[in-house]
Amino acid sequence: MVAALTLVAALSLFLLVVAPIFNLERVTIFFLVPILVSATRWGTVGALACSIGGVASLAFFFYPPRFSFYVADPDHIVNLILFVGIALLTSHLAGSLKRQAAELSRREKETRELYQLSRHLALAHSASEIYEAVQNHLTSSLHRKVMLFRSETDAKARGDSCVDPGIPELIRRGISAMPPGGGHDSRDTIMDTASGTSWLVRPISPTKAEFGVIAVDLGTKKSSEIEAMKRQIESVLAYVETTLNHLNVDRAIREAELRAETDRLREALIGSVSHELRSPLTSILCSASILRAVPALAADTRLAGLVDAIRQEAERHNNDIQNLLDASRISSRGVKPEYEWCDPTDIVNAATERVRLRYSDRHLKMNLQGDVPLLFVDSMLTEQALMQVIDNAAKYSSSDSTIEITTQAGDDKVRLVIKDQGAGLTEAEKAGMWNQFFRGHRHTLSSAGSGLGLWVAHAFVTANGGTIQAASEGEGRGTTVSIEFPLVRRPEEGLMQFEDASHE
Amino acid sequence: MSELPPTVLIVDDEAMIRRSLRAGFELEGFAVDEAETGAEAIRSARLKPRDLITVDLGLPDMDGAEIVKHLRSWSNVPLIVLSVRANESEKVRLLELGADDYVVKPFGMAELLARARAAMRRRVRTSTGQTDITVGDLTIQADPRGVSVRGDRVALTPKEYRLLQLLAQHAGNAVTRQNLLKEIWGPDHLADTHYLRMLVRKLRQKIEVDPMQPSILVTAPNVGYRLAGGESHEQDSVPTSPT
Repeated sequence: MVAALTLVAALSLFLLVVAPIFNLERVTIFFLVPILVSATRWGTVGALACSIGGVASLAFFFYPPRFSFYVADPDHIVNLILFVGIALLTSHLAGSLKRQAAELSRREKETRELYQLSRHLALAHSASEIYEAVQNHLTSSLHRKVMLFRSETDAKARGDSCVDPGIPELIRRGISAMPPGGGHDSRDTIMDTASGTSWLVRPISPTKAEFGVIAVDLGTKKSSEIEAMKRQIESVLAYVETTLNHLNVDRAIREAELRAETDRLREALIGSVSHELRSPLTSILCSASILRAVPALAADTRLAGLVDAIRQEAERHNNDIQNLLDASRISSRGVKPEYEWCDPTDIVNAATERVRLRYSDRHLKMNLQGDVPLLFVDSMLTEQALMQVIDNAAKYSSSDSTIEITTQAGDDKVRLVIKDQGAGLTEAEKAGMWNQFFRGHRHTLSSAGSGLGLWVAHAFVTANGGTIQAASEGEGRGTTVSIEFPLVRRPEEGLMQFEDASHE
Repeated sequence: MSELPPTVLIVDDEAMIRRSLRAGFELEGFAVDEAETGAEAIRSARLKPRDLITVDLGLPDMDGAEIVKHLRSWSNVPLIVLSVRANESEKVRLLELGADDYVVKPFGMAELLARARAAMRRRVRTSTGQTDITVGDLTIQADPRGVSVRGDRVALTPKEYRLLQLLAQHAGNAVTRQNLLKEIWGPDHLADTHYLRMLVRKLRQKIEVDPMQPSILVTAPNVGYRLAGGESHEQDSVPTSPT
C-alpha cells in the first residue's frame, strides 16, 4: 500500500513539473498507470489505495482551484467519478488475472510432477520400486516427511522397532494399529502429538489392506493447507492404487508373506525337532563314553563291546537326524553356501574322523597330496557331502575291507576320490543313486537307510559349484566316487608377500 | 587345589544331561553343582566361586551370548559352552565374548573333560606366570624364544612362531580364525582366511609327524584351530561329529 501511494506521489511530482512545460490538459488519464501497476502487483487493496491517492492528488494539485481539495468545475467532478469507477474495474480485472496465472503455474507444476511420477510408475517392475517412486514424489512435492509401509507386517515391524527416531511414539503406534481389514476405517487419521505436529496416517488403498499404509508428517500447518495437501495425496494415491492393481501386486505380496510365514514355521519346527531329538542322544552318548572309560568295564571285552554298540548306534542316529535336517533345508529354501578358503586336507580329515568310529572295522587309507590348492567352498557343506559318501562306502562294504580316500590337484580343479571294495553298482543303481529316497533293490532288505545321504551329498556338492560322479565295474566289484571342485584362483601366490622368509 | 576337589557348575535345562555330566565329573573327582536356568546359574556363580562352569546354549530363559557376557563381566572362571551343530557363527561369537571353548552335542565325556582341563590349566599358567608351554611332543620356550619337537629344535619364521604362540596361550582350547588373522596380519586381513590356511599348512609340515593327519595343530571345524592338549585321550572320546 505504501509502495502504491509512493507511485502516486512520484507521478504527481512528475506531472507537476512536466505538465506546465508541455501544457498538458488531461492529466487524469496518467493516474490510471499506477492503478494498473498496483492492481497487478499488489492486488485490489493496492489499486484502491492508488485510486484514492490519485483522486486526492488530482483535486489538490491539478483541478482549479489548485492547492485545495475543493473542485469547482462540474466537468472535473464527473472526471473524478469516472476515474474511480475505471480504477475499481481495472484493479478487479488485473487481480483476477493474476490469481488465474498463479493457479495455472501451480497446476502446471503439479501436472509435471504427476507426469514424472507416472513415468516412474510405468518403469517400475516391482512393488518396491513403485513404493519408492511414490515416497520420493510425495516427499519432494509436499516438502514433508512421507513414509510408505508396504504391508501390514512391514508397517508393524517398522512401526514397532524404532526405525526412525523422527517418528513420534504415538504415530508409530498408529501405524502399527492400522486396521488389517483395510476397508473398515479408510478415513484419514490425524493425530496431534505432544510436539504439536499433526500426521496423516491412512491405508494406501481404501479397499486393499495388502497395499500398506502411508504416513505423512503434516507439520504445524493451517487446516486449509492441510486440506490442500490431503487432496494432493488423495489424487496421487488413487493413481498408485490403479497401478498396483494393474501389477497384481496384492497377490504377490500376500504370497510372499505366506512364504515367509511358512519358512518361519519350518525353521521353528526344524529347530525344535533338532533339539528334542538330540538332547536324549547327548545324554546317551555322554553316558556311554563315561561307561567306556570305567576300568572295570573296559577289562571285559563283551561289556565294552556293548557300550561301543550303544555309542555307534547313537552316532548313526545322530547322522540320520542330520540327514533329515539337511534334506528339509535343501527342499525348503535351497542351499546357500557360505564360501571361504578351505584346506581340502582339513575337510577330508574332519569327514573321515566322523565315519571312523562308526565303522571301526573298515580300513580307511588316506592318499592326501601335500600341496593340493585351497578350495573356495562352504567347508561345512563340503565336509557333510564327503562324509555321506564315505559313510555310504563303508555301509556297503564288508568289515576288514579298505576304503581309499585320495586328493588330487589338476590344473584347474581339485578332485576327491573315494574308492571302496564293496557292493558296487548295477546300471539301475548308477542311474538313480543321486535321487531323493533312492535305495538299491538289493539293499532294501539287508540294510536300513532313508535314501537321503547321497542325495544330500549331491545337492551340497552342486551348490558349491562342484560335480559328483560314481563309477563301478559292476555288482560286488567296488565303487569309485569322484568329487571335483573347480579352482577359482590359486591364492598361494598372493600369500608370499605376507609371509616373511627370514628364519629365526 | 591339591587338598580340595575342583568344583564345577553344570548349567543345563535337561535333567538327563545334567545327570550324565554329574556322573562324568564326579568320577573324575569334581564336586558338582547344577543350575537349570541362566538366572539360577548367575546367582549360584556369584554366591560361590567355581573352578569350572559348563553352559548349555539352549537355555529357556537366557541366550548364550547373554550369559557368557554376564559371567565374564565379573569373573574369570573357565567357561565351556555346549552347543549344537550348524551354529558356527554363534560359537565364534561366544569364543570372542570370552568363553574358553565349546563342545558340539552330542559329545563324549572325555572330550568335554579335555577342553575343561585345558581351560583350567590356562588359569593356573597365567596365575603362576609360567611362560614355557609343553603340548604333547611340542615345547614352546619364551625366553630365549624357541620351539622344539620331540627334543629337536625347529626353525620357524616369525609368523609361524606367532601362530604357535597364540595357539599355545590357549593350549587345548580353540582359537578363532578371526582372532588369529587379527593378531598375525592385522585387522585389515580378517577376510583373508587363505593366508591362515597356508601358514597352518607350512607350520604343520615342520611340527607334525604326519602333516596330512595332524595330531598337534588340529582344526576346529568352521571355528579355527587348537593345539591338541597332551592330556586328552582322543581314543576314548566319541569324535566330535562337529562340523
